[in-house]
Amino acid sequence: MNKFIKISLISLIAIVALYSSVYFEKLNIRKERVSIRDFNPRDKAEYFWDNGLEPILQSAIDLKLFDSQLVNNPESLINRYGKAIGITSTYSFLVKSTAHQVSPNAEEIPVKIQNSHSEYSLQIKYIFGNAARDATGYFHIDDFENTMDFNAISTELNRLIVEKEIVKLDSIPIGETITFIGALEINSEIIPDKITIIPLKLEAVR
Amino acid sequence: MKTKKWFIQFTSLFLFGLFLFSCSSSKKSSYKGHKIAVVISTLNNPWFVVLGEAAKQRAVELGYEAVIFDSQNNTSKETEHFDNIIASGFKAILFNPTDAKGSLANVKAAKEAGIPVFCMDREIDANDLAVSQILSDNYTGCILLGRYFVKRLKGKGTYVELLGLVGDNNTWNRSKGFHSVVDNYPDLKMVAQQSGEFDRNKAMEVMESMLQAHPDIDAVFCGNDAMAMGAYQAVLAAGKTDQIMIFGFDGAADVVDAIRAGKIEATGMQFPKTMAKTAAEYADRYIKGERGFSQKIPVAVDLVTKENVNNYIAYGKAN
Repeated sequence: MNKFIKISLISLIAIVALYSSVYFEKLNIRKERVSIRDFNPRDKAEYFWDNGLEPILQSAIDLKLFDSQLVNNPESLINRYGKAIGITSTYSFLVKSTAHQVSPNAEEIPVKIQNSHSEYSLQIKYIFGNAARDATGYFHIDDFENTMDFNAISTELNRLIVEKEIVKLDSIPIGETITFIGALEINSEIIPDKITIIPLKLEAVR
Repeated sequence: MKTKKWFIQFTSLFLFGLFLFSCSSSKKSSYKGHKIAVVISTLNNPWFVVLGEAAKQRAVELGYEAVIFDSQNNTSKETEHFDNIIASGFKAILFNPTDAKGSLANVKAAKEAGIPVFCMDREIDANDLAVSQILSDNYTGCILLGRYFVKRLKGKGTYVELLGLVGDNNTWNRSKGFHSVVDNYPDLKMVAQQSGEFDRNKAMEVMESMLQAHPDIDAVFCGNDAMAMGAYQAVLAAGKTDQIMIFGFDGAADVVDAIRAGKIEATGMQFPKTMAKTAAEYADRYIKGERGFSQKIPVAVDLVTKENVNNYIAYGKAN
């Protein structure tokens, strides 16, 4: 009996000591705290830009094909190439084409396609919106704790577009041919007359 | 003896068959009479009344009893509702949170009690507590509004901003979407920014003060339509309706009419009925065993201006 009491007491003391020396926290709460503290949209966007963007750009479709399908077979165009988030009639696409450099102070560069149905332009000033984020399909809304964080990615991508791509235009003479890959958005309920493309990659053809 | 044995066997078989039949028919009607709670941040704003009523209506159509709870913009009141709901055997909660962080504990309590939560319009700052969150894409809606704002002001002028509730992520999604466009234009200057708490009367008071300090502004951007109407009242009282353009967000009936009448420039049309209907249908599917819902589902917002206002009615499209 004495032995039993001794063992019980020792066990009890050990349990109390152990319980006091460890800290229990539910995993989901810890993840929440850590993610709020650690989320950095700039880092996430830059990581994507340096490591994830290039392979995705290879899937861009020719703007001539986009334009033709937009009128002749929009459903097929959207199903095959379009990306959308949530309940919406707005779809984003990755497209590629060429243009000619205009004045460095211009807000946009016209993109001419033979027999085009819509008018296209490459936006080179005032870059905003979600086209770049959504057209790449890399970022998923469910991976972000709240939509503000998800939208912060757009802000950072737009900043990178200005800093890394649009800046190249400063050294491209007027009239020179530029190849580009960019993102555009359309509303499937209304075929627009004018479509703006946000550049993701710009190169002078020399 | 033989008869007795036969009788016992027959009776057993009959009872067993009756049991099987009642199981089958009770499964068909097992969802009837189940209750769904609709918890709304405040019923003091017509927009949220539409959200709540639409959610309730769809839940009833699907065969449930639905009860609306008004949190009166108070997280403590919301907690009381959740305690009540958890204790009362509700099968799901269609939830419009009062606060993205403050409401987390309530959703967590419901989840631990085995009650699925579907957020409507406003999100909570977690992606593993609610089953799904059906939200307005406020950021993109305010990008559209911001572009129109720049166009109407021709890229120059001074303006003020009335923010919504600071604890609501919608406030910041709208403001950031708007500023992501407008801040690119150095000749457009924001001279004041203050919260009107999404409330018409509060917005009117705040706007009156702003007009005292900045009598020559060209525009005001309001984070919701209730504040836009409050701002309009202040601008009207000051005799400056020809000078100041007003922009709102929601798609409320009075603002759609005001756009038609040229009193308000534009609003972002949200679709509360779509969000409410989707939440109720998801709850129904969840109760019937479906899983794997997307965590966040943004619902697009349309820009409504005098050019297209005839395509819209309050809280939705005309056809």
